[in-house]
Amino acid sequence: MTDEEILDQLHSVFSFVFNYDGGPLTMSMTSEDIPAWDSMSNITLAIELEHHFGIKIKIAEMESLKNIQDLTSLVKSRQQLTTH
Amino acid sequence: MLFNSYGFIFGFLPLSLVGFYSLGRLGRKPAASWLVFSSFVFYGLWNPRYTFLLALSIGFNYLISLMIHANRQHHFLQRTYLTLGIFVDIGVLIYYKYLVDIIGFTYGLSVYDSPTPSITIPLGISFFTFTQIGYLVDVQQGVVADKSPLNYVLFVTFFPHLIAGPILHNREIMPQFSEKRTYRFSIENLTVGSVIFIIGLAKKCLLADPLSAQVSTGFAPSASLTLSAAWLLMFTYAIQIYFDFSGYTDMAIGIARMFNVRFPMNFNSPYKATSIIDFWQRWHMTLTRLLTLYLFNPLAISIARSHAARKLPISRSAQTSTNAFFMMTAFPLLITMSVAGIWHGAGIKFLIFGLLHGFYLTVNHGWRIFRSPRASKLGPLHRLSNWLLTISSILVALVFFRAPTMNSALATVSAMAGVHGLGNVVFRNLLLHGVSSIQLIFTQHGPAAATSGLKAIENAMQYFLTAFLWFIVLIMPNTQQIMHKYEPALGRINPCALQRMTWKPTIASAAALGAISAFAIMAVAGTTPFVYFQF
Amino acid sequence: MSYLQTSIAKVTRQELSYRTYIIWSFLAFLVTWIIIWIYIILFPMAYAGRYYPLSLAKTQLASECKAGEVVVFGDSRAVAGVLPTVMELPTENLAFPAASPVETYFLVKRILRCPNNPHLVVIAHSASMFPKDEYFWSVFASLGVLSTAEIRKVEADAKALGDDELMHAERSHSVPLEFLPTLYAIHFPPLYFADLLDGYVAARWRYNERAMRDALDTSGRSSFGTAPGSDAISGEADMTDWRVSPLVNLYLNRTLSLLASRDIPVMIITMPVNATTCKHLPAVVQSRFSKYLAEIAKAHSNVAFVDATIPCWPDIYYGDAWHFNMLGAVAYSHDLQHVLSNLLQSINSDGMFKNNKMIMAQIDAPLTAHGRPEMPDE
Repeated sequence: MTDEEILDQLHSVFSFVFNYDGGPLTMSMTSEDIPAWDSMSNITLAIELEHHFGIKIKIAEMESLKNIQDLTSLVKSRQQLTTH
Repeated sequence: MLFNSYGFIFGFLPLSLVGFYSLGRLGRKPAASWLVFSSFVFYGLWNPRYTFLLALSIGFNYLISLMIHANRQHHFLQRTYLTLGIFVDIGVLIYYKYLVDIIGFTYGLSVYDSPTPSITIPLGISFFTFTQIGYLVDVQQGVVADKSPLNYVLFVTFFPHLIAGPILHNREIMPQFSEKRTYRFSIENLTVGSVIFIIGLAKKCLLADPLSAQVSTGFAPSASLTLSAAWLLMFTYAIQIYFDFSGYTDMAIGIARMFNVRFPMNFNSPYKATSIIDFWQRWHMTLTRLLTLYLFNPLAISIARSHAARKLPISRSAQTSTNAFFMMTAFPLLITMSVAGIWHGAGIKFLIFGLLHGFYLTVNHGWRIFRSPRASKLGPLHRLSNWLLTISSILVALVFFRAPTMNSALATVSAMAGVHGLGNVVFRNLLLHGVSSIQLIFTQHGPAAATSGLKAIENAMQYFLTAFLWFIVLIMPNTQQIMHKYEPALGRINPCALQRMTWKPTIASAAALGAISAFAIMAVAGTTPFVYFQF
Repeated sequence: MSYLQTSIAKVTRQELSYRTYIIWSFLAFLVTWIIIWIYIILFPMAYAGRYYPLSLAKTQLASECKAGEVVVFGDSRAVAGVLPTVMELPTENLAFPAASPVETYFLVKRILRCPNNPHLVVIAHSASMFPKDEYFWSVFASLGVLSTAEIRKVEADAKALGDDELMHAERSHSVPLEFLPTLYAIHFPPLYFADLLDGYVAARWRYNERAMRDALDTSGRSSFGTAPGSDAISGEADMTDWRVSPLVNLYLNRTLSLLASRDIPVMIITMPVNATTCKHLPAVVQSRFSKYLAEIAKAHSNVAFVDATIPCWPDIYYGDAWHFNMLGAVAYSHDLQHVLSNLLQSINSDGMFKNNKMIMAQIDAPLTAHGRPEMPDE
């Protein structure tokens, strides 16, 4: 998956989890740019990401979800593990 | 040894710096070893015997981490070692910190007044225990890159954070100890670190310490508080503990910077928060981070995963069912904040402090989950009322943090509710009372007038001083914002309204720094040990 | 742009090299330090607490060497309780707040430098001043009431007795103990900075001037609490035991011997506590304190009259938990002066007291049972 495709899919995940209706996501965004993103909704996000992308997120990686750049690379690297 | 003491500022610190940079010329390992040695000396200057405990704790945890890493193919063995490590660490912590209280509790001694402990609590045990548990979990998760023993020991014992934080994460610190440039003297880092240190020293000695006597009087058993006196007391204490703790943290950050090491931010103008959730993102940020990473996240996500596995809906709207809300939101929050509470101290009062904040957070998160999302931004009046609600909740919980006994805490809280009378609620009346007392000085004769007038002025000054300090806290930039051009700490520094108040090495700022440091160094002599010292 | 504008711009905007910056900062530090130091030395009346103007007043009164006086020494209870202006007997109140018998020794020594000796010396310390010389550093060294030589003498005596209370007395722990006397002598700023802040730098000037003048006008009396009655409990009630420290005992005995060598009779009295404190006063404190004072009286021939028990007076006479208000001072001073007049009449040519038993009864009556209906029974 390319970065743009991931960002696209993240947008729909975010609108489901955070009721996010803002513009397209960019790599420089963080959790501070999205109002409803707190530690509770972060949990929901993690589960949704696991469902949506078919990946498994480690506990140690949960805080790195709060950075779009890190989140995208995480999804990409996990995807590469699951595709053969 | 305290940072705010002459022995540290003019003795230990310069010696440690000189040794570090001299040995740095010989290489990384000599300088790093000198730092480890200095840190043990720093710890031992308080109580030499407990350096053995510190060394044992570090040795034990490092060994466990090696075993965890060695068994990364065998998940069961890994988890066993991890559990063993956490068990022993928490056990030691309970033994030194909580055992006396637990025994007292079970023997039916007064739960309200903690008995005088017969065990001296090793300095900083809460800090270095939790730091190491975090490391063990990270090793088990496979996210620790650097496992060298010297870096690990230095990471745990590095004296700026050893006793009172900030609580460091291995990923942000250990790499810095591997870099060559950490061991090369930089006059910029020395200067920037000294400025941050002096700001911290001034906050602690000039702003926080003078308030402690006033606060102690307010919590004395004989104090009978009215509503206004109780609220004034808590507003004053909130300021005292903020400047005390953030000042000490600034000193830690500044000292680390003198050694070319960057520490994470620990405070971000917490009293500007307009919600409790926001508050905990700004107060003792490294503790929030630690508890979120290693307690809240694992707990909440395992509950959420089990809900999802049982095909129970977990989306935002689905969380509004009572059962889902309790299990997924309230329960993890209450557990995490209870731990946060008793981390600060043994005793029912600290547990209540934690539970109160757990309750507040639950309400706050619940509010976000249950109400429909707001399209428009909040108006200023709305934000003001949010702020008032947030601050009031914080002050009420803070009573349980500070009050010497449970009875005192309950008395203060009931005074805040107006149970014991209103007192000088109307500020205008207070002002007039002060003015009329001053008038008496000039008209009345005799020694009596002198004492009562001065007292009235002192009472009025308390209100003014507290109001002034709150003004500073709400309007002025915090230390990181002042220093933001020089990357004072790890973490994002959001811009402040007063953008022009930033530090630059100019003559004007040199004059200000010199004057402030003169005052701060003079104030060191009247020093009180800082509040978080007992943790 | 004008020269002023360019200078301001230069000072606030031009960035220096770090080395230059450090040098400028250090210079600013030094200049500030020196200015504050000079201020601390020159203007104590502006910021110091009330004990400072009181010490000035007492020093001046002592140096006036008035003839034929009764001189009262003691702690702040005596400062507040003895009002010479309502006493017909020429009396001087040279008691000092927070004084223990250690400091009283030096104060007594000073008035003995006068050409004429007092006819009677009264010593009135509270029971709480005997177990420890708590304020040796924080009040007496700080104010310069004791000279550096005197401070060192007390330290030497304490060491010889194996008494380490001076280490645990109220003091700043951020400077080593050995340097404290010298640091106080040179008014080392950190030791006075807390006072500077408490006095809001210069706000105490008026009050201090007035306090000094009032103390001089009343021959040494000064007030502490001014409430029209107080049921607050003073520190004696918190004492679980009573003992006298070796250092305090040494200096009390020295004082009495010194006065005996000049043939000056001494009356040791105990200032009253308020009725509420009285109710909470542990019996062991009363008994041990009385026993000690009785032994002192026996040991020194010039001390025959000791008001051994801690008297109780009604709450209405107290301005705070410890001290008499003006009403109390007037009432107490009237009673005291009767007793003192009788005492002086009964002094024989040797300077010793005649007919102990009769006069003992006379003292106990007025000073311990002031005739008001609210007076609690003991």
